[in-house]
Amino acid sequence: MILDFRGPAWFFGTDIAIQVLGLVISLIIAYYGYKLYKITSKKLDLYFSIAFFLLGLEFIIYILVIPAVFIYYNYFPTLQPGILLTIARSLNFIYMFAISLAYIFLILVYSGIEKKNVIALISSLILALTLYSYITRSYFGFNLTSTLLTGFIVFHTYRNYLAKKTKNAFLVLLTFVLLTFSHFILAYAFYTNIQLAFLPGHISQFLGFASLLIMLIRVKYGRKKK
Amino acid sequence: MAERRNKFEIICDILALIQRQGKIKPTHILYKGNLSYDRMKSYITELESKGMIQEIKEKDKSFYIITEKGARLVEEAKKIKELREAFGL
Repeated sequence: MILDFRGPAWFFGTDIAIQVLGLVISLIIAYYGYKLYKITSKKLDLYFSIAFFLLGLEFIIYILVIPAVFIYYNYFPTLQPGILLTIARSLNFIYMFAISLAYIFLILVYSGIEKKNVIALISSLILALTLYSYITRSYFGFNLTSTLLTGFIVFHTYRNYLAKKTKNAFLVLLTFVLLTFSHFILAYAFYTNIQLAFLPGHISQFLGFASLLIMLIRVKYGRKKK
Repeated sequence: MAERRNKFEIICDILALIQRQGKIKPTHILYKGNLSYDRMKSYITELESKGMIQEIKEKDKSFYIITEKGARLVEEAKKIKELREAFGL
């Protein structure tokens, strides 16, 4: 379950706050991406919007489901969970799939892949991989896959930064570097089962989204690019 | 050599041009927007269908004006443009 992602008990709550920040930022970017798609009618712009919408979905699941499951396990352990557990497990799977698919959509955007059959193939592979990680409870494998996917995005955002040399492009690059680091550390934490290792993973994720927030503030208030 | 404008930039340029002029003839969009006739026609059709510009007739002559929706887009275009650049879209 996603509960395994949370790290030490004293960190509970802070992790939710980090997810709220991620949710707000993801939805703002998804909104602008959708606006862009409405103007250009280009599929790649739609994929960009979908990617951030999926990240938003992942955060919503974390924010809503985690506390519910946590409360159940800690305060009502004798009650029959009934359908609640099935729903929680399904959402847990959607959580993992949404993250992977979000990264895949960003990779499609950067690679300029629009063909539906290619997208269907890649999505099916990611679905199979997520199912395998979910069934075998291999969160190490899931995070390692995410590390590779975000690493690919880092490569493209780095190239963009080299071409543009703007602060905003740097902040986007920094975001994906930190997200890659976050997934790598989480993979390490699951592999070694060191609870404290989850902390740098979550903090790195927080810093990544804080970097996106700074970029959005700069865009919103029209700061100079350099 | 100047970089080629992409679709988003061309649309923003056309809308900003119409907004600056108030009302504008299609031929003026053609040369002030630095577009071929076919491309200008397709952009105009698309912008009209999306409700961003509107055709008006004055003394049998055709003009285009920007709609409220189009004007809102011009306002937001700068932000969207910066976002696109930041992500390298």
